[in-house]
Amino acid sequence: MRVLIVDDERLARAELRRLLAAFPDVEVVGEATHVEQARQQVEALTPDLLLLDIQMPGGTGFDVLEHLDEPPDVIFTTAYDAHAVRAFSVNALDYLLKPIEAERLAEALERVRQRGHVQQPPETSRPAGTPLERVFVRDGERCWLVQLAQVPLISSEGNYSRLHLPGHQPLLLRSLSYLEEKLDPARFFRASRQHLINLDFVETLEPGPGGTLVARLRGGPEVEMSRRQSLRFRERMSL
Amino acid sequence: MSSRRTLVYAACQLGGWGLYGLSNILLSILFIATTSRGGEQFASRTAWTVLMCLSGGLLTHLARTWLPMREWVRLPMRRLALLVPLTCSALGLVQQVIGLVLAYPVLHIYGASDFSFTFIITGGAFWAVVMLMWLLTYLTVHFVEQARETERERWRQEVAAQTSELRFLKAQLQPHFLFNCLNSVRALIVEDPARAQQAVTRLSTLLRHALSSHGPETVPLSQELQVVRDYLSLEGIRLEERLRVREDVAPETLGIAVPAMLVQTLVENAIKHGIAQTPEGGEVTVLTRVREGALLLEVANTPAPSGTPAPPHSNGEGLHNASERLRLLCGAGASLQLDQTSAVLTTARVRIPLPP
Repeated sequence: MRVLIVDDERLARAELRRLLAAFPDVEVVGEATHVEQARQQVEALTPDLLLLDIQMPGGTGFDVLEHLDEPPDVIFTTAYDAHAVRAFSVNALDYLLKPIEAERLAEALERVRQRGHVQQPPETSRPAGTPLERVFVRDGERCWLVQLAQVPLISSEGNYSRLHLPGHQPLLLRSLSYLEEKLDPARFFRASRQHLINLDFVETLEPGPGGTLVARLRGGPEVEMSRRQSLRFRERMSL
Repeated sequence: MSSRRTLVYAACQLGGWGLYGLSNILLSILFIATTSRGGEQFASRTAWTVLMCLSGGLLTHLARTWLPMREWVRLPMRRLALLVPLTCSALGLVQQVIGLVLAYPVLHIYGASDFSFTFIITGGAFWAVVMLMWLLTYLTVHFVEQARETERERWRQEVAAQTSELRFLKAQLQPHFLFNCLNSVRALIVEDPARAQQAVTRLSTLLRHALSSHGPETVPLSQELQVVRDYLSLEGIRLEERLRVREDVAPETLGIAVPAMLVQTLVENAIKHGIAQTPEGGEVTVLTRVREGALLLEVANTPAPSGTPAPPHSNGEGLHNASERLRLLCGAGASLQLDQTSAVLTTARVRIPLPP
């Protein structure tokens, strides 16, 4: 497991390195001390796991994640931050309180290992051009790493996009066009200027007004395709 | 509120003078109506009483409007001892003159033979006593009101003091600082045991001070600076070469009393909003001077680069609390200002007037 440590304090990084030395399968590939550097290091080193401090110069750990195209697994480290701690739905993101207990670290790493096996093939380094699989989203006080395969519908909100998940609709700091380019075209289809639908979630298709198609998605929403996209969809289906 | 007060005042005026008039009329029924020329005398006497009540009411009302009587409750007793008799005598005299004019030429209660010097003076004295009673009643009401208001104000102040103390205590034991500090110390134990020991000692001193500092509200500046040094050295372990500290303390300021943890709060802010937000760090300067009969205290720091988002949960409460405590402990003349006009320096400036 290739780990990047992000913390602005040298001693805190040293302590983490010391703790991580006990795990033979963990390799510390780099360190970053602030938001900008962290982003660059993630892009350059593509680590499997980020040990990410929350309070840093130039922003928070969340700011690092929000702008990453392909966020790795994350374990937050924080001295004390009641709000931040509340922010995690624990099964999605883990956190460790400083000073870090070796046992808790082992637990968190184990969780990451398991998650890694479920979601990713063993060859973890992804060649460029592979479709985007998940994104980090922050909705008010909560944070998730969202598997995009589980998102039925994405709608456009100006320069941002809204993920329509059952129960919550977080905003993503990416445009719909950007997402369309990055997402797996076998799974996501641009239904209209406004909508990107997940084909795995399409339950029924009905003819709409003027030769268009209306897709009903599992879990409720109906999406009307534009005329042009309806045509394209029909062509694609007939192939 | 003020219309309610006016209403109460009007009721008291009407009630008081009405009662006075009524009891006088009752007395004349008892003593005059039974005599031979009683009927005729009773009518003119009643008319006179009613007119006297009206003039008394009007006089006292004018006195209340023209004289700053509501302010008298704040005057020292010696001034009051002079003002009250003077006012009563003056009012009594005027009332007596009005009374005589009404009684003699208008209502013919008296004949010319009735007038004597003693008669005039006794009448004047009588009215002066009535006016004195009016004035005492008026002042008593205001004294009571003033006392109640003072009490309320005292309670308000006490509550404000307690609230700020509570917030202050909570702010002191900053968990974020504490745990970061412990984390650094743990790393130091392996790396540099001697410095780790030193850090534990400093942390102990700081905690002891934080826990005991709700005792004395103000401490000599020298003591406060010692706490600040402990704190800065601990932050120095955490931030290492990113934190540079400069002290410029005038020796004559060391004995001056300052609110406990005041400089500490300012330095903490300087680090939280300035140094800790900058990857390459910066400098914190503590400067103290005596200038124009006041202690001038400045904590300056290199600010975070522009566009840096504010650290979470920083709504300026620390600074607000410090400012509130400062005013509570050092009086309204003390001030705390944050100067962010310069792009290269953020300065918190405290001014505490020295006792003359």
